[in-house]
Amino acid sequence: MTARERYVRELERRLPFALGLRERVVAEIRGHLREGGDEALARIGPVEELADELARELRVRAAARASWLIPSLVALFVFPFYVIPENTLPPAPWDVKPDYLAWKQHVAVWAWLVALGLGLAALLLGRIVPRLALVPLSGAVAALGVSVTFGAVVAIQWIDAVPGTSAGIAYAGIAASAALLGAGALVLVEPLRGALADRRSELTAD
Amino acid sequence: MKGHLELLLLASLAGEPGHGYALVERLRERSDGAFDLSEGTVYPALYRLERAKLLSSRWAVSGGRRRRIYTLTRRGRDALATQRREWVSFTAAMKGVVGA
Repeated sequence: MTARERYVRELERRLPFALGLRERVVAEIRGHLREGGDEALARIGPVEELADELARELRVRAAARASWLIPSLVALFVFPFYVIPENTLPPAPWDVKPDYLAWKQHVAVWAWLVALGLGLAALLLGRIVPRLALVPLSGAVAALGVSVTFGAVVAIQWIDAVPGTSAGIAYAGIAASAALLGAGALVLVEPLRGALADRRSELTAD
Repeated sequence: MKGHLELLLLASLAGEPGHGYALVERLRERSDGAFDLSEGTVYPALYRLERAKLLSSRWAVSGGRRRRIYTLTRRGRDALATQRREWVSFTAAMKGVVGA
């Protein structure tokens, strides 16, 4: 392995995961070093300094991206949560929904509405100060977690409560909801880590 | 130098689009080697300018190599014009005080 390739790999190792952005940065630096050869390697600077500067930028971009991606995931939750069950499952046999299902369903709906509201707030805030959007985004993911959990419990109980309910559709809905929640959490992790790292640096500097 | 890097990059892209390595070369040539900067500083600055929508970028293949090409946006041209005016008045003021 050449010294240039070692530099690029070390840089890649130090950069945060940021949904495709890291790959772009690494490809550009690799191209730069290929273009300029060993002279460029000598002039590019210590890998840790470059990685620190690039990581800061990647995290800001990851936060900006999270500020629209997470609200989109929250909005998509309407499909496994409402649209698909409503259009595929048999009608309920009761006039008044049993309490043991109703309260959990209310929690799931309200938590989703809270997630949606926080997501929209993050969407607006993300256009101005992406880092500040992390607060409502974290709330949106947490609220979505509550909604997914209670929604999953309702889905499982629904299988026994309503004859003819397809367990396959119910479990597929739970899996899809969990996937949306997981994606939201994954998108949030790197910007949050960056914000915490920056906060630690500020405190150290003080 | 670092405080002026973004102005230098915008100015380097004013004539024609370019990739990161080409910009480093342009800066070195146009400054007669005075701006022989640490090349790693160029990329974070390019990304900041792109995020501020002063630059746009796309992958392009030329000479069998895939490169990320940066181009000034309309907003970037406006920012460059403003920063040029500020730079001219700043250097005029400095000249008035320091003398030359």
